[in-house]
Amino acid sequence: MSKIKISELIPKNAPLSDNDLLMISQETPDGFESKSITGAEIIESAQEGLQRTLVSGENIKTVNSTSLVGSGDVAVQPTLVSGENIKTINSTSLLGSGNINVQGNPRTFASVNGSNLTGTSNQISASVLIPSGTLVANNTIYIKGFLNKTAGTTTSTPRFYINTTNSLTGATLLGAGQGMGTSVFFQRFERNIFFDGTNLNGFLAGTSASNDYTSSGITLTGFNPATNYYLIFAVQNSTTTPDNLGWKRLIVQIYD
Amino acid sequence: MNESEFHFEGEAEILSETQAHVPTDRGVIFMDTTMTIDNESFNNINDFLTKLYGK
Repeated sequence: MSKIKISELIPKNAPLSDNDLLMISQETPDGFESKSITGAEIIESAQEGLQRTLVSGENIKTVNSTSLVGSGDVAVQPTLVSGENIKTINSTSLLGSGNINVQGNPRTFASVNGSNLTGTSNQISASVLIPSGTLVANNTIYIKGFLNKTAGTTTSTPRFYINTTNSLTGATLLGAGQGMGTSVFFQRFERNIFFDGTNLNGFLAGTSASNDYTSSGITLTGFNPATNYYLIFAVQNSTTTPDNLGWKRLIVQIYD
Repeated sequence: MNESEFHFEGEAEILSETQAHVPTDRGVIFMDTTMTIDNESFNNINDFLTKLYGK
């Protein structure tokens, strides 16, 4: 093989391939040692520290099955901002975890079952707290329920009151149902009470009636919406036993 | 009118030996002998009402 200068070697004129073989010399204590290095070793060494070619779904995730590789924007949902790009329900944000109790109109405010009571004094069978801030002007409280007794023949009387404490003492009478005597053991009860911002407007309190479907005088009862109130449902029997009147399944709703 | 001031209107309705409905300008108020008048206690509603109405 004739000697030829490196500068006179014929150019390959092609990219480096794995099978190319280059000669190198390494300095040793005794002089120089000739070694070879392949094109593959050079390519591998050059690629160290460089990002690998991105292949969608292999080494880069997709967004909603859309490849992130390439140019342009990928359509994604913007960050939700309550009241800006997502609505609220009754001014309550929908963002975050947990449940939102959606109230309609009317909204059921309470559903309670009273006790059947014996005794001739006027006693509390059931009560419902109306927290301050619950009622606003032009709301209507709707009360429905029924009364029953399982024994006795003398008259038992249902009444309902309002008070700032859960006590009959000092309570204001809002109304009375029909007295239940002889074989009358069941009565459906219903009332609508309108709040005008100052007073509760209701069926005449002194008129005993199962419902307010008919006309009557009006009973105005002062009501401060910034105060806690109790609706108190009471019963009174004419004899000690066995008469046992009770308010059952009282449902209190508020209409806006 | 003072907020705690009530005006009686009509006769009281006695409900039991210890309880009564007292009509006022602010509605019918349930009263009983657990209430005192000028720190005076009562054993029955008749005595309570007599004192209440100043009879």
